[in-house]
Amino acid sequence: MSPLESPRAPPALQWESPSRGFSEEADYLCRVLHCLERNTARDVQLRSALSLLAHDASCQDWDGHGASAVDLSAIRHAERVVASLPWNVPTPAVTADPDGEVSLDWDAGHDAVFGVSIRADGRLAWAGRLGKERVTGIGFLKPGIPAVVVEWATRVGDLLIASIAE
Amino acid sequence: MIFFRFLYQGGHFSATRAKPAGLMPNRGLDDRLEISTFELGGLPDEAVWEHCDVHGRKDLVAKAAAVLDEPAVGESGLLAQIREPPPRHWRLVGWPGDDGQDAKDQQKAIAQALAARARLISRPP
Repeated sequence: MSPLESPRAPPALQWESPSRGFSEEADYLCRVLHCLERNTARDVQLRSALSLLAHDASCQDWDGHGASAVDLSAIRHAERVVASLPWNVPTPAVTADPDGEVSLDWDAGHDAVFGVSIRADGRLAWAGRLGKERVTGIGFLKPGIPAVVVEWATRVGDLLIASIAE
Repeated sequence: MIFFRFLYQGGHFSATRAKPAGLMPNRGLDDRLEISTFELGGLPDEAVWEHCDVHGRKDLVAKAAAVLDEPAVGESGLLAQIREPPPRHWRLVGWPGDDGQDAKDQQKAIAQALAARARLISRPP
């Protein structure tokens, strides 16, 4: 089986491969490297945002409306949630909820939003709106995350990338 | 009636819009879920910010406000309740999860609906 047929091969990219004219293997490696770069950039951005959050929302009433301090376990779980998402999902906005949970949000406009809140015990609660579609649900962070979370983060994330590119 | 939710965190709004994160409920003193607002319909912008400074948080500076009209509140299933003092202070109650059940996903959906209907005003520099 060639590397391009591997079930772990990254998805096709809208990206000009610098390896054009070389072997399929070289092209595959370039795509893997590109994915790693994207993932690394997302990890760096996320860690930076979570560190800031841990600082800014570490005390009671950080929002001026009586909020609870953000929970450090929720921050650790949030890292796991993002790490479980496909490489092409952009970095979410990170905020603390008034009850101390961490919220990851993809916001591409009034009617293209998706957010998932993460509690200290790994409970996930999500809601999204995309045009006339709506989604809500509650689940738990197991080794992976619920498929619906991946699907909505990807769909709204795609719109977010498109809106930034415009 | 026009309700102003003052936003103290930069992450609660963008350049043009209030974000759902700024419209999530807190537990009030009576343990009900609520978001705290001021009903300031008819006031010019300068008076809105003056009201915020005098009657809002003294130790924090509101950077923006999410402005919600009565239909937006009603359509979200919430109820506006006057809660003075301070003057013109109202809270939006009726959030799912008031009974202790885990309804965080429904709360997020309502916050998203409110954010979609809210108008953002930024504090002048």
